[in-house]
Amino acid sequence: MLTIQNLHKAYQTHTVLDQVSLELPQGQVLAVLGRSGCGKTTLLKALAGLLTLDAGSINWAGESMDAVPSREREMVYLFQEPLLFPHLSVFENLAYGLRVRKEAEAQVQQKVVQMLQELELQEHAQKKPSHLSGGQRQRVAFGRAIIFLPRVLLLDEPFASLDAQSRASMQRLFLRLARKYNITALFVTHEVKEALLVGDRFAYMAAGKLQVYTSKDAFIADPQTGVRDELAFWSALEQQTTYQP
Amino acid sequence: MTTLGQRLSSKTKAGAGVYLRAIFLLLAVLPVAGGLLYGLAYSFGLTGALSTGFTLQHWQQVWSSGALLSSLAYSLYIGLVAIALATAAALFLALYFQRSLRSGSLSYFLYLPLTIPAMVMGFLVFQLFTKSGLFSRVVYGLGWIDNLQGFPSLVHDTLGFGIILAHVLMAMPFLTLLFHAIYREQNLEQLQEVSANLGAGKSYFVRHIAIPTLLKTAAPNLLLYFIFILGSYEIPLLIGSQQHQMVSVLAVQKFQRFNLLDIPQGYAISVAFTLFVLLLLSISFKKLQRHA
Repeated sequence: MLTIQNLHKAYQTHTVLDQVSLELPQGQVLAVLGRSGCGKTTLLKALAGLLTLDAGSINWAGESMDAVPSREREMVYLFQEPLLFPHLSVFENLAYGLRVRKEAEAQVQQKVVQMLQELELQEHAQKKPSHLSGGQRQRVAFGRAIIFLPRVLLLDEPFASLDAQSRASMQRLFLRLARKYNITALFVTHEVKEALLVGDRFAYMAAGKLQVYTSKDAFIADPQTGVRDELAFWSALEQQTTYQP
Repeated sequence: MTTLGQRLSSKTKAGAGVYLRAIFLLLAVLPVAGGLLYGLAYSFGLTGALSTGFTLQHWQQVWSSGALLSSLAYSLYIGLVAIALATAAALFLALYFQRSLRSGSLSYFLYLPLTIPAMVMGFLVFQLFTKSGLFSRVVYGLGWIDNLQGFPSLVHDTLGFGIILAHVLMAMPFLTLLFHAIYREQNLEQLQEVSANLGAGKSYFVRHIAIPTLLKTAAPNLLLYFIFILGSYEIPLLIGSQQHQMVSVLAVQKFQRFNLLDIPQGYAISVAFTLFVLLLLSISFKKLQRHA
Protein backbone atom coordinates (compact mmCIF):
# COMPACT_ATOMS: atom_id res chain seq x y z
CA MET A 1 0.00 0.00 0.00
CA LEU A 2 1.27 3.45 -0.96
CA THR A 3 0.49 6.03 1.71
CA ILE A 4 1.10 9.73 1.21
CA GLN A 5 0.45 12.19 3.98
CA ASN A 6 0.30 15.99 3.86
CA LEU A 7 2.81 16.58 1.10
CA HIS A 8 3.76 20.22 0.76
CA LYS A 9 5.94 21.92 -1.80
CA ALA A 10 6.30 25.62 -2.61
CA TYR A 11 8.53 27.62 -4.93
CA GLN A 12 9.11 30.89 -3.07
CA THR A 13 5.54 32.11 -2.43
CA HIS A 14 3.85 29.84 -4.97
CA THR A 15 2.43 26.65 -3.43
CA VAL A 16 2.56 23.72 -5.84
CA LEU A 17 1.52 20.89 -3.51
CA ASP A 18 -0.89 21.73 -0.73
CA GLN A 19 -1.38 19.07 1.96
CA VAL A 20 -1.65 16.22 -0.56
CA SER A 21 -2.67 12.90 1.01
CA LEU A 22 -3.77 9.58 -0.48
CA GLU A 23 -3.75 5.84 -0.01
CA LEU A 24 -3.37 3.44 -2.90
CA PRO A 25 -3.56 -0.35 -2.44
CA GLN A 26 -1.03 -2.53 -4.28
CA GLY A 27 -1.96 -3.43 -7.84
CA GLN A 28 -4.36 -0.52 -8.33
CA VAL A 29 -4.16 2.40 -10.74
CA LEU A 30 -5.05 5.87 -9.51
CA ALA A 31 -6.04 8.13 -12.40
CA VAL A 32 -5.24 11.75 -11.55
CA LEU A 33 -7.09 14.27 -13.68
CA GLY A 34 -6.01 17.87 -13.76
CA ARG A 35 -5.23 20.85 -15.96
CA SER A 36 -1.72 21.98 -16.88
CA GLY A 37 0.15 23.63 -14.02
CA CYS A 38 -2.02 22.14 -11.25
CA GLY A 39 0.96 20.36 -9.63
CA LYS A 40 0.56 16.86 -11.11
CA THR A 41 4.14 16.61 -12.38
CA THR A 42 5.54 17.94 -9.10
CA LEU A 43 3.56 15.30 -7.20
CA LEU A 44 4.91 12.48 -9.37
CA LYS A 45 8.50 13.76 -9.31
CA ALA A 46 8.35 14.11 -5.54
CA LEU A 47 7.13 10.52 -5.24
CA ALA A 48 9.95 9.35 -7.51
CA GLY A 49 12.48 11.15 -5.33
CA LEU A 50 13.45 13.54 -8.12
CA LEU A 51 12.29 16.56 -6.09
CA THR A 52 12.69 17.35 -2.42
CA LEU A 53 9.57 18.14 -0.45
CA ASP A 54 9.07 20.91 2.11
CA ALA A 55 6.90 18.69 4.31
CA GLY A 56 4.94 15.45 4.36
CA SER A 57 5.71 11.76 4.27
CA ILE A 58 5.70 8.95 1.71
CA ASN A 59 5.35 5.35 2.88
CA TRP A 60 5.35 2.05 1.04
CA ALA A 61 4.05 -1.01 2.91
CA GLY A 62 4.61 0.83 6.18
CA GLU A 63 8.21 1.71 5.32
CA SER A 64 9.16 5.39 5.06
CA MET A 65 10.53 6.42 1.68
CA ASP A 66 11.40 9.98 2.72
CA ALA A 67 15.12 9.41 3.12
CA VAL A 68 15.41 6.84 0.35
CA PRO A 69 17.21 8.28 -2.73
CA SER A 70 15.55 8.11 -6.14
CA ARG A 71 17.71 5.23 -7.37
CA GLU A 72 16.79 3.02 -4.42
CA ARG A 73 13.16 4.02 -4.16
CA GLU A 74 11.87 1.71 -6.94
CA MET A 75 9.21 4.26 -7.85
CA VAL A 76 9.69 4.85 -11.54
CA TYR A 77 8.66 8.10 -13.15
CA LEU A 78 7.68 7.80 -16.80
CA PHE A 79 8.33 11.13 -18.50
CA GLN A 80 6.06 12.66 -21.14
CA GLU A 81 8.92 12.20 -23.63
CA PRO A 82 10.24 8.63 -24.01
CA LEU A 83 13.84 9.72 -23.16
CA LEU A 84 15.44 6.52 -24.40
CA PHE A 85 19.23 6.17 -24.26
CA PRO A 86 20.12 7.18 -27.83
CA HIS A 87 23.18 4.98 -28.42
CA LEU A 88 21.60 1.80 -26.99
CA SER A 89 19.42 -0.58 -29.00
CA VAL A 90 15.79 -1.28 -28.05
CA PHE A 91 17.00 -4.50 -26.40
CA GLU A 92 19.64 -2.72 -24.30
CA ASN A 93 17.25 0.09 -23.35
CA LEU A 94 14.82 -2.51 -22.00
CA ALA A 95 17.63 -4.37 -20.25
CA TYR A 96 19.02 -1.23 -18.54
CA GLY A 97 17.20 -1.57 -15.21
CA LEU A 98 18.01 -5.30 -15.05
CA ARG A 99 21.71 -4.75 -15.78
CA VAL A 100 21.84 -2.02 -13.13
CA ARG A 101 20.51 -4.60 -10.67
CA LYS A 102 23.20 -7.05 -11.85
CA GLU A 103 20.72 -9.75 -12.84
CA ALA A 104 22.22 -12.87 -14.43
CA GLU A 105 22.64 -12.64 -18.21
CA ALA A 106 20.25 -15.56 -18.84
CA GLN A 107 17.58 -13.80 -16.75
CA VAL A 108 18.15 -10.54 -18.60
CA GLN A 109 17.82 -12.26 -21.99
CA GLN A 110 14.68 -14.11 -20.98
CA LYS A 111 12.94 -11.07 -19.43
CA VAL A 112 13.81 -8.74 -22.31
CA VAL A 113 12.67 -11.24 -24.95
CA GLN A 114 9.40 -11.68 -23.06
CA MET A 115 8.95 -7.90 -22.76
CA LEU A 116 9.68 -7.44 -26.46
CA GLN A 117 6.84 -9.88 -27.17
CA GLU A 118 4.50 -8.06 -24.79
CA LEU A 119 5.30 -4.78 -26.51
CA GLU A 120 5.13 -6.38 -29.98
CA LEU A 121 8.56 -5.05 -30.79
CA GLN A 122 10.44 -8.33 -31.46
CA GLU A 123 11.58 -7.31 -34.93
CA HIS A 124 12.88 -3.95 -33.65
CA ALA A 125 15.09 -5.38 -30.88
CA GLN A 126 18.37 -4.32 -32.44
CA LYS A 127 17.19 -0.94 -33.73
CA LYS A 128 18.33 2.34 -32.23
CA PRO A 129 15.63 4.68 -30.81
CA SER A 130 16.13 7.11 -33.70
CA HIS A 131 14.81 4.44 -36.07
CA LEU A 132 11.50 4.00 -34.21
CA SER A 133 8.20 5.84 -34.44
CA GLY A 134 6.91 7.97 -31.55
CA GLY A 135 4.52 5.24 -30.41
CA GLN A 136 7.20 2.55 -30.55
CA ARG A 137 9.59 4.72 -28.51
CA GLN A 138 6.92 5.29 -25.89
CA ARG A 139 6.31 1.52 -25.73
CA VAL A 140 10.03 0.92 -25.15
CA ALA A 141 10.08 3.57 -22.39
CA PHE A 142 7.08 1.89 -20.77
CA GLY A 143 8.65 -1.57 -21.02
CA ARG A 144 11.96 -0.25 -19.64
CA ALA A 145 10.09 1.15 -16.63
CA ILE A 146 8.13 -1.99 -15.74
CA ILE A 147 10.56 -4.77 -16.67
CA PHE A 148 12.10 -4.95 -13.18
CA LEU A 149 8.67 -4.64 -11.52
CA PRO A 150 9.05 -1.41 -9.55
CA ARG A 151 6.96 -0.72 -6.46
CA VAL A 152 5.07 2.13 -8.09
CA LEU A 153 4.86 3.36 -11.65
CA LEU A 154 4.35 7.11 -12.04
CA LEU A 155 3.02 8.06 -15.46
CA ASP A 156 3.07 11.73 -16.39
CA GLU A 157 0.72 12.10 -19.38
CA PRO A 158 2.83 9.45 -21.11
CA PHE A 159 0.74 9.25 -24.25
CA ALA A 160 0.04 12.97 -24.69
CA SER A 161 2.36 13.38 -27.68
CA LEU A 162 0.90 10.42 -29.60
CA ASP A 163 -1.74 10.46 -32.32
CA ALA A 164 -5.23 9.20 -31.43
CA GLN A 165 -4.67 5.68 -32.80
CA SER A 166 -1.28 5.13 -31.13
CA ARG A 167 -2.70 6.59 -27.94
CA ALA A 168 -5.61 4.13 -27.88
CA SER A 169 -3.23 1.25 -28.59
CA MET A 170 -0.92 2.37 -25.75
CA GLN A 171 -3.85 2.67 -23.34
CA ARG A 172 -4.88 -0.92 -24.14
CA LEU A 173 -1.27 -2.08 -23.72
CA PHE A 174 -0.99 -0.27 -20.37
CA LEU A 175 -4.21 -1.84 -19.08
CA ARG A 176 -3.18 -5.34 -20.18
CA LEU A 177 0.32 -5.13 -18.63
CA ALA A 178 -0.91 -3.34 -15.49
CA ARG A 179 -3.27 -6.25 -14.84
CA LYS A 180 -0.74 -8.92 -15.79
CA TYR A 181 2.12 -7.57 -13.63
CA ASN A 182 -0.15 -6.26 -10.86
CA ILE A 183 1.27 -2.76 -11.28
CA THR A 184 0.57 -0.06 -8.70
CA ALA A 185 0.44 3.21 -10.60
CA LEU A 186 -0.41 6.88 -10.50
CA PHE A 187 -1.56 7.83 -13.98
CA VAL A 188 -1.70 11.57 -14.55
CA THR A 189 -3.71 12.85 -17.48
CA HIS A 190 -5.69 15.91 -18.54
CA GLU A 191 -8.04 13.82 -20.67
CA VAL A 192 -11.28 12.67 -19.05
CA LYS A 193 -11.70 9.63 -21.30
CA GLU A 194 -8.20 8.39 -20.59
CA ALA A 195 -8.67 8.81 -16.84
CA LEU A 196 -11.91 6.79 -16.91
CA LEU A 197 -10.33 4.12 -19.09
CA VAL A 198 -7.15 3.42 -17.10
CA GLY A 199 -8.14 4.14 -13.50
CA ASP A 200 -9.29 1.78 -10.74
CA ARG A 201 -9.49 4.80 -8.46
CA PHE A 202 -9.88 8.45 -9.35
CA ALA A 203 -8.58 11.80 -8.16
CA TYR A 204 -8.78 15.39 -9.31
CA MET A 205 -6.03 17.93 -8.82
CA ALA A 206 -6.35 21.70 -8.89
CA ALA A 207 -4.06 24.43 -7.51
CA GLY A 208 -1.89 21.90 -5.66
CA LYS A 209 -4.79 20.23 -3.87
CA LEU A 210 -5.66 16.60 -4.56
CA GLN A 211 -9.16 15.29 -4.10
CA VAL A 212 -9.46 11.50 -4.10
CA TYR A 213 -12.92 10.09 -4.83
CA THR A 214 -14.45 7.10 -3.10
CA SER A 215 -15.87 5.71 -6.33
CA LYS A 216 -16.04 6.18 -10.08
CA ASP A 217 -19.60 7.51 -9.72
CA ALA A 218 -18.48 10.16 -7.24
CA PHE A 219 -15.73 11.19 -9.68
CA ILE A 220 -18.22 11.44 -12.54
CA ALA A 221 -20.75 13.30 -10.42
CA ASP A 222 -18.35 16.04 -9.35
CA PRO A 223 -18.86 18.96 -11.79
CA GLN A 224 -15.27 20.24 -11.42
CA THR A 225 -13.84 17.08 -13.05
CA GLY A 226 -15.64 17.97 -16.30
CA VAL A 227 -16.79 14.37 -16.86
CA ARG A 228 -20.45 15.38 -16.95
CA ASP A 229 -19.77 18.16 -19.46
CA GLU A 230 -17.93 15.67 -21.64
CA LEU A 231 -20.77 13.14 -21.36
CA ALA A 232 -23.34 15.85 -22.13
CA PHE A 233 -21.35 16.88 -25.20
CA TRP A 234 -21.21 13.35 -26.59
CA SER A 235 -24.88 12.57 -25.88
CA ALA A 236 -25.93 15.85 -27.52
CA LEU A 237 -23.84 14.94 -30.53
CA GLU A 238 -25.34 11.45 -30.60
CA GLN A 239 -28.88 12.88 -30.48
CA GLN A 240 -28.09 15.29 -33.31
CA THR A 241 -26.75 12.42 -35.42
CA THR A 242 -29.68 10.09 -34.58
CA TYR A 243 -32.50 12.58 -35.26
CA GLN A 244 -30.99 14.19 -38.34
CA PRO A 245 -33.53 14.07 -41.18
CA MET B 1 1.65 31.90 -59.01
CA THR B 2 1.11 30.93 -62.65
CA THR B 3 2.59 27.78 -64.17
CA LEU B 4 5.02 29.92 -66.19
CA GLY B 5 6.03 31.77 -63.03
CA GLN B 6 6.61 28.49 -61.20
CA ARG B 7 8.75 27.17 -64.06
CA LEU B 8 10.84 30.36 -64.14
CA SER B 9 11.26 30.21 -60.35
CA SER B 10 12.44 26.58 -60.40
CA LYS B 11 14.84 27.40 -63.28
CA THR B 12 16.25 30.35 -61.31
CA LYS B 13 16.74 28.10 -58.26
CA ALA B 14 18.50 25.45 -60.37
CA GLY B 15 20.73 28.13 -61.92
CA ALA B 16 21.67 29.51 -58.49
CA GLY B 17 22.53 25.94 -57.37
CA VAL B 18 24.92 25.51 -60.30
CA TYR B 19 26.64 28.84 -59.54
CA LEU B 20 26.99 27.99 -55.85
CA ARG B 21 28.49 24.61 -56.71
CA ALA B 22 30.90 26.29 -59.12
CA ILE B 23 31.97 28.82 -56.45
CA PHE B 24 32.46 25.98 -53.94
CA LEU B 25 34.62 24.07 -56.43
CA LEU B 26 36.61 27.21 -57.23
CA LEU B 27 37.27 28.18 -53.61
CA ALA B 28 37.48 24.86 -51.77
CA VAL B 29 38.30 22.02 -54.16
CA LEU B 30 40.40 23.62 -56.88
CA PRO B 31 43.25 25.05 -54.70
CA VAL B 32 43.63 21.75 -52.80
CA ALA B 33 43.41 19.57 -55.91
CA GLY B 34 45.72 21.95 -57.79
CA GLY B 35 48.27 21.91 -54.98
CA LEU B 36 48.13 18.13 -54.76
CA LEU B 37 48.59 17.71 -58.51
CA TYR B 38 51.46 20.20 -58.56
CA GLY B 39 53.10 18.35 -55.64
CA LEU B 40 52.61 15.03 -57.40
CA ALA B 41 54.11 16.42 -60.64
CA TYR B 42 57.06 17.90 -58.71
CA SER B 43 57.70 14.61 -56.86
CA PHE B 44 57.76 12.73 -60.18
CA GLY B 45 60.24 15.20 -61.65
CA LEU B 46 57.73 16.66 -64.12
CA THR B 47 58.17 20.25 -62.95
CA GLY B 48 60.53 22.38 -60.83
CA ALA B 49 63.86 24.11 -61.29
CA LEU B 50 65.88 20.91 -61.74
CA SER B 51 63.23 18.88 -63.53
CA THR B 52 64.63 16.08 -65.69
CA GLY B 53 61.39 14.44 -66.81
CA PHE B 54 59.35 11.63 -65.26
CA THR B 55 61.24 9.68 -62.59
CA LEU B 56 60.42 7.56 -59.54
CA GLN B 57 63.80 8.33 -58.01
CA HIS B 58 62.51 10.85 -55.42
CA TRP B 59 59.79 8.49 -54.17
CA GLN B 60 62.31 5.63 -54.00
CA GLN B 61 64.68 7.82 -51.95
CA VAL B 62 61.89 8.75 -49.53
CA TRP B 63 60.83 5.11 -49.05
CA SER B 64 64.34 3.66 -48.86
CA SER B 65 65.54 6.19 -46.23
CA GLY B 66 62.67 5.16 -43.93
CA ALA B 67 62.36 8.78 -42.77
CA LEU B 68 58.75 9.11 -43.92
CA LEU B 69 57.56 5.94 -42.20
CA SER B 70 59.35 6.70 -38.95
CA SER B 71 58.07 10.29 -38.86
CA LEU B 72 54.56 9.07 -39.73
CA ALA B 73 54.73 6.55 -36.88
CA TYR B 74 56.03 9.28 -34.52
CA SER B 75 53.25 11.66 -35.62
CA LEU B 76 50.65 8.94 -35.04
CA TYR B 77 52.05 8.29 -31.57
CA ILE B 78 52.00 12.00 -30.67
CA GLY B 79 48.52 12.46 -32.15
CA LEU B 80 46.99 9.42 -30.44
CA VAL B 81 48.48 10.13 -27.01
CA ALA B 82 47.63 13.85 -27.15
CA ILE B 83 44.02 13.34 -28.30
CA ALA B 84 43.49 10.51 -25.77
CA LEU B 85 44.78 12.62 -22.85
CA ALA B 86 42.90 15.74 -23.95
CA THR B 87 39.68 13.72 -24.43
CA ALA B 88 40.00 12.10 -20.99
CA ALA B 89 40.63 15.46 -19.29
CA ALA B 90 37.83 17.17 -21.22
CA LEU B 91 35.38 14.37 -20.39
CA PHE B 92 36.24 14.71 -16.71
CA LEU B 93 35.67 18.47 -16.77
CA ALA B 94 32.48 18.26 -18.84
CA LEU B 95 30.96 15.52 -16.67
CA TYR B 96 31.97 16.59 -13.18
CA PHE B 97 31.98 20.39 -13.50
CA GLN B 98 28.59 20.77 -15.19
CA ARG B 99 27.40 23.49 -12.83
CA SER B 100 30.54 25.62 -13.19
CA LEU B 101 30.41 25.24 -16.96
CA ARG B 102 26.74 26.21 -17.03
CA SER B 103 27.18 29.21 -14.76
CA GLY B 104 30.13 30.39 -16.86
CA SER B 105 32.80 30.56 -14.15
CA LEU B 106 34.82 27.69 -15.61
CA SER B 107 34.04 28.69 -19.18
CA TYR B 108 36.18 31.86 -18.87
CA PHE B 109 39.22 29.75 -17.95
CA LEU B 110 38.52 27.60 -21.00
CA TYR B 111 38.00 30.41 -23.49
CA LEU B 112 41.36 32.00 -22.59
CA PRO B 113 43.63 29.12 -23.78
CA LEU B 114 41.55 28.94 -26.97
CA THR B 115 42.87 32.36 -27.95
CA ILE B 116 46.54 31.33 -27.60
CA PRO B 117 48.19 30.48 -30.95
CA ALA B 118 50.12 27.22 -31.30
CA MET B 119 53.46 29.06 -31.52
CA VAL B 120 52.83 30.88 -28.22
CA MET B 121 51.71 27.64 -26.53
CA GLY B 122 54.95 26.01 -27.72
CA PHE B 123 56.99 28.86 -26.20
CA LEU B 124 54.99 28.65 -22.99
CA VAL B 125 55.70 24.94 -22.58
CA PHE B 126 59.35 25.58 -23.44
CA GLN B 127 59.62 28.33 -20.79
CA LEU B 128 57.97 26.17 -18.16
CA PHE B 129 59.54 22.75 -18.77
CA THR B 130 63.04 23.29 -20.13
CA LYS B 131 65.95 22.43 -17.81
CA SER B 132 66.39 26.14 -17.08
CA GLY B 133 62.62 26.77 -17.05
CA LEU B 134 60.26 27.80 -14.28
CA PHE B 135 59.39 24.31 -13.00
CA SER B 136 63.03 23.27 -12.97
CA ARG B 137 63.88 26.33 -10.82
CA VAL B 138 60.95 25.66 -8.48
CA VAL B 139 62.00 22.02 -8.05
CA TYR B 140 65.62 23.13 -7.53
CA GLY B 141 64.44 25.75 -5.03
CA LEU B 142 62.58 23.06 -3.10
CA GLY B 143 65.81 21.07 -2.95
CA TRP B 144 64.42 18.08 -4.85
CA ILE B 145 67.29 18.21 -7.40
CA ASP B 146 70.96 19.11 -6.86
CA ASN B 147 71.30 21.27 -9.95
CA LEU B 148 69.14 22.45 -12.85
CA GLN B 149 70.56 19.76 -15.13
CA GLY B 150 69.03 17.16 -12.83
CA PHE B 151 65.55 18.18 -14.04
CA PRO B 152 64.17 15.54 -16.45
CA SER B 153 64.19 16.31 -20.19
CA LEU B 154 60.59 17.28 -20.86
CA VAL B 155 61.31 19.51 -23.86
CA HIS B 156 63.15 18.33 -27.01
CA ASP B 157 62.79 14.82 -25.56
CA THR B 158 62.37 11.63 -27.58
CA LEU B 159 59.01 10.74 -25.99
CA GLY B 160 57.58 14.07 -27.13
CA PHE B 161 56.35 15.11 -23.66
CA GLY B 162 56.52 18.81 -24.50
CA ILE B 163 54.69 18.43 -27.84
CA ILE B 164 52.00 16.26 -26.25
CA LEU B 165 51.54 18.68 -23.34
CA ALA B 166 51.24 21.70 -25.62
CA HIS B 167 48.64 19.93 -27.77
CA VAL B 168 46.71 18.70 -24.73
CA LEU B 169 46.63 22.25 -23.34
CA MET B 170 45.31 23.52 -26.65
CA ALA B 171 42.81 20.72 -27.30
CA MET B 172 41.39 20.31 -23.78
CA PRO B 173 39.42 23.61 -23.59
CA PHE B 174 38.00 23.11 -27.07
CA LEU B 175 36.95 19.52 -26.34
CA THR B 176 35.49 20.45 -22.94
CA LEU B 177 33.27 23.09 -24.53
CA LEU B 178 32.35 20.63 -27.30
CA PHE B 179 31.40 17.89 -24.80
CA HIS B 180 29.48 20.42 -22.71
CA ALA B 181 27.49 21.50 -25.78
CA ILE B 182 26.78 17.84 -26.68
CA TYR B 183 25.77 17.12 -23.06
CA ARG B 184 23.08 19.76 -23.33
CA GLU B 185 22.05 18.98 -26.89
CA GLN B 186 21.68 15.25 -26.17
CA ASN B 187 19.59 15.99 -23.07
CA LEU B 188 21.99 14.06 -20.84
CA GLU B 189 20.87 15.89 -17.72
CA GLN B 190 17.37 14.44 -18.08
CA LEU B 191 18.77 11.06 -19.11
CA GLN B 192 20.71 11.05 -15.85
CA GLU B 193 17.44 11.57 -13.97
CA VAL B 194 15.93 8.67 -15.93
CA SER B 195 18.97 6.52 -15.20
CA ALA B 196 18.89 7.32 -11.47
CA ASN B 197 15.18 6.62 -11.38
CA LEU B 198 15.84 3.21 -12.97
CA GLY B 199 18.29 2.48 -10.15
CA ALA B 200 21.70 3.49 -11.53
CA GLY B 201 24.30 5.51 -9.64
CA LYS B 202 26.17 8.43 -11.22
CA SER B 203 29.26 6.38 -12.10
CA TYR B 204 27.12 3.72 -13.86
CA PHE B 205 25.41 6.46 -15.84
CA VAL B 206 28.75 8.10 -16.70
CA ARG B 207 30.30 4.80 -17.88
CA HIS B 208 27.31 3.34 -19.72
CA ILE B 209 25.43 6.36 -21.04
CA ALA B 210 27.26 9.70 -20.81
CA ILE B 211 30.73 8.73 -22.07
CA PRO B 212 29.52 6.55 -24.99
CA THR B 213 27.01 9.23 -26.05
CA LEU B 214 29.57 12.05 -25.86
CA LEU B 215 32.31 10.10 -27.66
CA LYS B 216 30.00 8.82 -30.36
CA THR B 217 28.56 12.26 -31.08
CA ALA B 218 31.97 13.95 -30.96
CA ALA B 219 33.77 11.25 -32.99
CA PRO B 220 34.02 13.24 -36.27
CA ASN B 221 35.40 16.27 -34.39
CA LEU B 222 37.87 14.12 -32.46
CA LEU B 223 39.05 12.57 -35.71
CA LEU B 224 39.54 15.99 -37.33
CA TYR B 225 41.43 17.30 -34.28
CA PHE B 226 43.60 14.17 -34.35
CA ILE B 227 44.44 14.89 -38.00
CA PHE B 228 45.19 18.51 -37.08
CA ILE B 229 47.73 17.27 -34.50
CA LEU B 230 49.19 14.79 -37.02
CA GLY B 231 49.98 17.64 -39.39
CA SER B 232 51.02 20.21 -36.77
CA TYR B 233 54.22 22.13 -37.47
CA GLU B 234 55.01 25.01 -35.08
CA ILE B 235 54.90 23.08 -31.80
CA PRO B 236 57.10 20.12 -32.88
CA LEU B 237 59.48 22.56 -34.58
CA LEU B 238 59.91 24.57 -31.36
CA ILE B 239 59.97 21.85 -28.73
CA GLY B 240 60.30 18.61 -30.67
CA SER B 241 63.11 16.08 -30.51
CA GLN B 242 66.15 16.25 -32.78
CA GLN B 243 66.02 12.49 -33.36
CA HIS B 244 62.32 12.10 -34.19
CA GLN B 245 60.51 14.49 -36.45
CA MET B 246 56.82 14.86 -37.12
CA VAL B 247 55.81 14.67 -40.79
CA SER B 248 55.31 18.41 -41.34
CA VAL B 249 58.72 19.22 -39.85
CA LEU B 250 60.39 16.59 -42.02
CA ALA B 251 58.67 17.86 -45.20
CA VAL B 252 59.49 21.53 -44.52
CA GLN B 253 63.12 20.64 -43.80
CA LYS B 254 63.33 19.02 -47.23
CA PHE B 255 61.81 22.12 -48.84
CA GLN B 256 64.11 24.57 -47.07
CA ARG B 257 67.43 22.80 -47.45
CA PHE B 258 70.09 24.36 -49.66
CA ASN B 259 70.10 21.25 -51.83
CA LEU B 260 67.44 21.90 -54.46
CA LEU B 261 67.37 18.16 -55.27
CA ASP B 262 65.68 17.55 -51.90
CA ILE B 263 62.62 19.63 -52.82
CA PRO B 264 60.92 16.84 -54.85
CA GLN B 265 61.35 14.58 -51.80
CA GLY B 266 59.57 17.22 -49.70
CA TYR B 267 56.70 17.14 -52.19
CA ALA B 268 56.67 13.32 -52.18
CA ILE B 269 56.39 13.35 -48.35
CA SER B 270 53.59 15.96 -48.46
CA VAL B 271 51.64 14.06 -51.11
CA ALA B 272 52.07 10.73 -49.27
CA PHE B 273 50.89 12.35 -46.03
CA THR B 274 47.87 13.92 -47.75
CA LEU B 275 46.91 10.57 -49.28
CA PHE B 276 47.32 8.88 -45.89
CA VAL B 277 45.04 11.47 -44.25
CA LEU B 278 42.43 11.11 -47.02
CA LEU B 279 42.51 7.33 -46.62
CA LEU B 280 42.16 7.66 -42.83
CA LEU B 281 39.24 10.07 -43.26
CA SER B 282 37.38 7.92 -45.78
CA ILE B 283 37.77 4.72 -43.70
CA SER B 284 36.82 6.47 -40.46
CA PHE B 285 33.79 8.29 -41.83
CA LYS B 286 32.52 5.10 -43.46
CA LYS B 287 32.82 3.33 -40.10
CA LEU B 288 31.15 6.22 -38.29
CA GLN B 289 28.28 6.24 -40.77
CA ARG B 290 27.82 2.48 -40.36
CA HIS B 291 27.58 2.84 -36.57
CA ALA B 292 25.40 5.98 -36.68
